[in-house]
Amino acid sequence: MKSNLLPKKGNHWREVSLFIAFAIAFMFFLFRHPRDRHQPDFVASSALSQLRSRFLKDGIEGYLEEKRALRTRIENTIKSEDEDSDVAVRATRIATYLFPEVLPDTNFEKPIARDAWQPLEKQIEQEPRSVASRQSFEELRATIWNYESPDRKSPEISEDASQVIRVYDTLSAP
Amino acid sequence: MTWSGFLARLKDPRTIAILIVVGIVVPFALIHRPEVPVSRSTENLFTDSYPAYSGFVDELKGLRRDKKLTSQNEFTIAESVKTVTASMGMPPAILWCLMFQESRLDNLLGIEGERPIYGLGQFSHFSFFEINHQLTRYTDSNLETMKSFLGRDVRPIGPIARPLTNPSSYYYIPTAVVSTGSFLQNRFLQLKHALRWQGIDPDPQLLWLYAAMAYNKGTRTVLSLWNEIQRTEGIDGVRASVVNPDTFNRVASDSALADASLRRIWPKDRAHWYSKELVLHIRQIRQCATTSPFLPDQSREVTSEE
Repeated sequence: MKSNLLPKKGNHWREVSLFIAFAIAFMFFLFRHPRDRHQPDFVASSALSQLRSRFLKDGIEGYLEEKRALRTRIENTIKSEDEDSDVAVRATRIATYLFPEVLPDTNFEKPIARDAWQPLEKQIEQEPRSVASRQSFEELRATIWNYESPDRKSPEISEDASQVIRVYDTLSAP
Repeated sequence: MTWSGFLARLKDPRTIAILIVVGIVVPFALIHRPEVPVSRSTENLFTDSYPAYSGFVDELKGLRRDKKLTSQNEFTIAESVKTVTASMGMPPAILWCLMFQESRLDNLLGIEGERPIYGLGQFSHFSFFEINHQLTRYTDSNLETMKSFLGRDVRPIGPIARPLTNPSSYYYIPTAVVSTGSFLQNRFLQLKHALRWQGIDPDPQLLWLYAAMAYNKGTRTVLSLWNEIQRTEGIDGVRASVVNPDTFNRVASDSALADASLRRIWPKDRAHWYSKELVLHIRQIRQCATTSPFLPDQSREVTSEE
């Protein structure tokens, strides 16, 4: 009777294997893109890449339609979410470079964004692929780099800033 | 209104109600009005004898001894700094110390290097773009200073290696000083614009220190820092940090505050690295450019880590 309580050698290995498989599966679900769960699609996917793709596919009208939709989602997120949440922080980062008007008035970046690069972005959107838009793009890129790069020895800018520059590079490319 | 008329009005329930409301609201507002920080005098914040910190004085002697800084170049830099800062209304110590921090006053730094960062102010391609295309964006004084100091508008300016005396070369010391001063002045005016938009009138001397931060770490880094203070301490906290030297010292030494602000832009490890660099950078600028009463003694004892 007592010996029947001890696991047989074959069963023991099967249990250990099952335990390891469950542990791996658990860890996988626990750590797989934790920030992506239950968040709006502008965070889950790359909204800025979508803007660029939409321009390449449908031209400036398609791009502006996509941008308007993104603006609505960003504005709603900033208004409704806790400002410390990941989703609101990401929305604020995008708004800084694309929709500064939806930032709260207490945000110190708002006046700089409205004066420094938003007019350049509008100019590019009004005359995409033109010589004038290319000049505006060169100014936009330098303005953002000088505004953001936190390291003079090894200059770099954030992922969002890079993507915004890539969007307007595409819009202004002859 | 006669006295009897006034007394008659006092009997009106509406007048009594208004007086009660005023009687409650006014004392409440007076008691709970935001505290405006008392600004310590910043009249002599910047030193006339720079670098102020003895460790940097020794380092300067070492640069002279090792022939890394010739007496002629040192003299040209000093004279250029005096002229340019007088024209721009900038404390000479902040510009000299910024260039000392960036390049150890080596006007040819980067001339043979692989990294595209050049000269006294460690200019990048985009720094040159701003000087060449946006010089008058914030003020005409940048261009006026360039014309009066160099004799004409010498743009476009770039890292032109030969001849080194070409006024359009950033390796030419007077050109480097006026360009670096212009770039620093633009950071100052950008920050001032952001503060004025919130109704804050900063102490100009503290704002020059923030401008030096923005020069090295980007305007966005400073604005993010103010956003973080605004979130945790309110707008009065930001106001205090730009008018009160003691509050400025606290903010400029707080790497946790900088870390929290930069995490909203950068991944955790990058934010941590930049926050440590920011605190170190501004500490060295303060050590170099400010008078001893401004800087806490313990900060003066920290040696250069760059």
